[in-house]
Amino acid sequence: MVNTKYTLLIGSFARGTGDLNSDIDMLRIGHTMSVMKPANINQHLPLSYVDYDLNSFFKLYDAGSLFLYHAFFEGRLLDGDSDQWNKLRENFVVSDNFIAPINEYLEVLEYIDSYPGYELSFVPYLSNIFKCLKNIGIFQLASRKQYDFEKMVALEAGCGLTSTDAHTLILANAVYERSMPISLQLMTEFEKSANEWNRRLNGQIARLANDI
Amino acid sequence: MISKDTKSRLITAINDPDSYCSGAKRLQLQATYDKLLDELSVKLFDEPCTNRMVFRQKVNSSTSSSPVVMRLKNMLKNQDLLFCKDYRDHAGEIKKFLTNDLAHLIGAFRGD
Repeated sequence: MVNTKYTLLIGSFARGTGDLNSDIDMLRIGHTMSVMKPANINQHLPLSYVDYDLNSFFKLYDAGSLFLYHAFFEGRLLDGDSDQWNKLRENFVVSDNFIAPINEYLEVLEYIDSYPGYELSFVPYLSNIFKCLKNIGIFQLASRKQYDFEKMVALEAGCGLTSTDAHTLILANAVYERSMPISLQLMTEFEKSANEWNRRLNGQIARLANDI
Repeated sequence: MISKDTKSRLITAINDPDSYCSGAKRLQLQATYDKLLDELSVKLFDEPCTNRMVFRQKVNSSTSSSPVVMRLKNMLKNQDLLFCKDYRDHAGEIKKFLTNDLAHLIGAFRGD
């Protein structure tokens, strides 16, 4: 296994739900060589790498990492020994306890909520809330043996958000992390949404903590 | 130039870099860093920061030779270290970012 290298397409394009607001997510295991974008995907979209050395990979493998579950069962192997990869997938046992990572993201939400005036920085405020809620939603769903990594599903089914709220958070994150163009109207919408979240984030955190 | 809260949260991280290299504290540091960029964007360009990369481009195209802008340019060059999405150990790099780049920027606010 010393020379083992894998490259996988993961994320929304592996699931077939990628759009112009998505990154092309690649998982590189055992190497950090650059990877060609798959030909059937818009070549202007940014590549985003997640890298594991073999030691980290096997640590996560033994721990039953939810992220690896997602790589095994949604990812598309682009490079590497497929027989070996399939064997790893067959023997993989996903963890069933996600209390620690949920608490970690709840702690970050509490930190943001206790930060005076953070909501005035409305795009980063919404983007950071999005990242926490998306991950909490994914872990909450996995606790119920529902393995879904789609951001909309994580926010709606995992965190109980309305589709309007989920959509606004996803847009704010696309603007902040992916340079999606922003109109004056969208900016006003984000400002309004940030003010609303500032009023109700505390209640949302309490509800999510209660769901654990 | 930046709010008291942001400054004190950053100084806490600079003074205890080991704790801020992983886990919830690292995510908190990322959130604080994003708040810092927004506050600086309002101060320097009179508009909010809607994107880290765009903010960096604006700062880099600034011709100002003030210590704040010079140190900000240096810090933004290395900001990706804070946001790496892998499981390799970046503790050394994050510590260096905190104690060099970020600490120097905070120093520039005080006129160091």
